[in-house]
Amino acid sequence: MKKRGRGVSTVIYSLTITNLPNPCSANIQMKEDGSVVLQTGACDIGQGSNTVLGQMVAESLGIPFDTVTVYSADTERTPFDTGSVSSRLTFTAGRAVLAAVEEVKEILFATVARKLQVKAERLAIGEGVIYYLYDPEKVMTIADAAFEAHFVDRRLPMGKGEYYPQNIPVDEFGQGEPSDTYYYLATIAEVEVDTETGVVDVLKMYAAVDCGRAINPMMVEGQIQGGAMQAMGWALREDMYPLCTQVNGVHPEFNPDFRPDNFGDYAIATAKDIPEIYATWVEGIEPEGPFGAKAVGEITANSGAAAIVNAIYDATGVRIYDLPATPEKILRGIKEEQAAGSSSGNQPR
Amino acid sequence: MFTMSRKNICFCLNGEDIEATVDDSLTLLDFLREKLHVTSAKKSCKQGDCGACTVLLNGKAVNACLILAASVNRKEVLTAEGLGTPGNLHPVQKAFVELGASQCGYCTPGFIMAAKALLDKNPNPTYEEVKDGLSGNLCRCTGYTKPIEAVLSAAKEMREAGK
Repeated sequence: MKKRGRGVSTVIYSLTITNLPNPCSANIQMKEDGSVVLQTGACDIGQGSNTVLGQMVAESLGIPFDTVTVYSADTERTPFDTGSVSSRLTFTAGRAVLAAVEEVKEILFATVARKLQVKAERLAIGEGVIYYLYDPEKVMTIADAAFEAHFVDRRLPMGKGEYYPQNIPVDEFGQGEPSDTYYYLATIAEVEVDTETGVVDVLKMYAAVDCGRAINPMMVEGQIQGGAMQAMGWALREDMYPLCTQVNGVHPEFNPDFRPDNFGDYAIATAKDIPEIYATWVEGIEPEGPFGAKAVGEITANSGAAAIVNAIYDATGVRIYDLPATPEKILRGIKEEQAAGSSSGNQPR
Repeated sequence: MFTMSRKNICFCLNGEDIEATVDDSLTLLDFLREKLHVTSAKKSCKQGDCGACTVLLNGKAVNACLILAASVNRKEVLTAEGLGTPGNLHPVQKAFVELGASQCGYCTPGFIMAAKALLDKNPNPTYEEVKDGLSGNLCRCTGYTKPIEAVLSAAKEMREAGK
């Protein structure tokens, strides 16, 4: 018989590291034609930090995205970054980028203020121009301003930015504040369990992240979809020691001979295995974040497994406490449930 | 005594004729990457599980890690390099870029080639048929959702261009 169930789970996650110093950096140089080179240690491992940081530069300097070149994660040519860990780059490297942008703007504004005979603090930047706030007729293109700064004012429009997340030591009990700020995810899973075979089919997954401002919504959606799929994989099938007999959910011996050494045995999901994934996000604006952004990376994979296991419980009454929730474990649970039910006279669920 | 034998082969790679002498134990993947420096096909699992090395052999998607270089004699091999150029992308490549169907990118050339093989055979696939066509390619980042959407979008564009 096939039984359906739904489960929900939520997770809170940190996005900076406060117990260790972990600097982020950015160097920005605006060239004489107004195009920009950003050098940052932030490492894009596919999560899209190059794109997001480039977008932040373009947005805050009012220039087209395709005039921004990003060089990243080359210890020979880029300044220091701690690493693509703790889902921190949008927030921390973004803060470093915005700090560098401020220095560039200060130099450009000084040039434009001299040229237009206005006060620099009454200038604003956007849409390719720097303009006087009280008279939109008084403008100078960013390219002209960059050229003037280079060759008339002899100040290169370059900026150096850095960001150190707060360093908050833990107290005598090891308690403290692990992150500058936090972000959140909720997942709902809908499953169908075959009670004769114990096989679980995940039909649908809904995941919603509070990621702060979604700097690049398409990539946010992609991260959520990928995280949901990974969560499903380790909820149901991925196991480092699949052939070991477990006792009370504990492997008696971690025999390296039993470790899967290929993707077939480890069985990561293919396109055929994925459920319908509905990804959405909530923009809970973070005042400290660049443009109000927080993060999206790791959290996307963190609650799916709990939602699936809760859905299995909803469908069958079987609680799985050690992942993956293999058909063997579920069948064993169903049998125990039935035995318990018949001995106490209750109807099995 | 064990002796390695070598074979002379001649095949067409991305529209160009290649003549070479290869060890008969050399895989097509190693030959492409190490000898010819054509590196879009990625060496990941080396045992046909992951599809990152997918290339087209006479129009059929194969794992280059499981094909011996010596066996492509007088055949046609197509890799992502032969499909499009940065200035002139193939519709499948264009759709992957535009729909964000690539994250770390390691699996992407394999997906592109598998999709090309699928669309050559079936220009109007259903969602399930696209899933089937991509099921030999593993991806850890995207959850497959965007790659599937990209293939469907490219199929639509190719059908409209063909009209």
